[in-house]
Amino acid sequence: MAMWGRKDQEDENKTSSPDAGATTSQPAAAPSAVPARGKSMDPRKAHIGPSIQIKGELIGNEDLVIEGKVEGVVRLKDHHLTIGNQASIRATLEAKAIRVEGKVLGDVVANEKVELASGSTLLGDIVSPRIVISDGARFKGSVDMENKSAPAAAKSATAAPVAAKTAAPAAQANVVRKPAGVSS
Amino acid sequence: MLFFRRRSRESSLQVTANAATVPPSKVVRGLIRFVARQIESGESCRVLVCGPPSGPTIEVFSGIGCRVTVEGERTQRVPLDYPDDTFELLLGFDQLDFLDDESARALVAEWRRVLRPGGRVYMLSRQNAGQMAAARLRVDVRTDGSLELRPSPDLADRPRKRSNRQIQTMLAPMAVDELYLRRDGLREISGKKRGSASPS
Repeated sequence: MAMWGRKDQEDENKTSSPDAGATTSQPAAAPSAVPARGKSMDPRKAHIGPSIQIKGELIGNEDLVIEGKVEGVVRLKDHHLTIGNQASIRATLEAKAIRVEGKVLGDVVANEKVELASGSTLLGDIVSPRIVISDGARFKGSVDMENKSAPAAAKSATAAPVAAKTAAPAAQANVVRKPAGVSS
Repeated sequence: MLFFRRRSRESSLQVTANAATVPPSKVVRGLIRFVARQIESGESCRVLVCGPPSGPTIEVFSGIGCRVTVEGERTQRVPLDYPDDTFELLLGFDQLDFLDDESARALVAEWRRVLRPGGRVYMLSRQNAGQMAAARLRVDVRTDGSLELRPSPDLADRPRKRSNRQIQTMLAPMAVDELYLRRDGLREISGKKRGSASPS
């Protein structure tokens, strides 16, 4: 419709790219050598099983999958952290990339990406340059994407509507304004 | 008196098998421009998104430099855990349609409380129980002002049907000053909280 202006395919593609990752599941871990322990089992990753509970600070230099209960802090510098769907976490999580499939109560800090899988729950703040939220994920908290190119993005955002002005008059005709006297 | 006006005689909603796309909207573009001006003028800009969480929406506003907060709970609890006058922009997606009148009014009052004077609010409401009626919609905002709507799979629920007048009454505390109506079953409602306007 002329009323809405032309659809800018480029912009849409730009913004839809992160979401594309949301609908297509991440490359699955290599087929597990120990299938009895679940499909998320990867022999190249350290695992904390569902019957294990940890309280305190957990620091590592390898990829980690948590299926159990953890309270405290988890730090994996430059490595991937996966919170399995059986996991229950009350901790601050710091890693290169974090994928949440279970429940997390706490802040999540990633250098690369945070991914919330369908059915996951995150109650806490996210600090990450990229966020993928799948349909059905629950999230409550603030997001800090540490975007250092913010001024450039702001400029492009203010410039974009100027380009769209050609479509504006038609849309403006349908604006209904509330008289000044009407209030609660 | 406040009136709704039909926006177009033909549907602007492009519906595919499992999603619908709303073409670029002047309203949404205006909101993006509003927050961009806030950032450019050196002001902080906090955005509250109420509804099923959406990565693209967060990225759009974070990319501009806003601090985005998401209230992705299925049922919004009131009062909200934020001080008065916290947010410059509030996006309420698919919330009011699932609440009874009293709860909806309480939520609207809370939205008004946490919104700064001069801050903007943007809401979507369904006009009828048409397609995708039995699920809440996840709304992805794109940088070009278009919206993508998709049913959020685990949130099956039936939205309430409300007339324009009921919506109007419910939103009265927000001092909403602009209302749009699409013919295709989706209301687009935008407004500005009255008071001393923040720089824009």
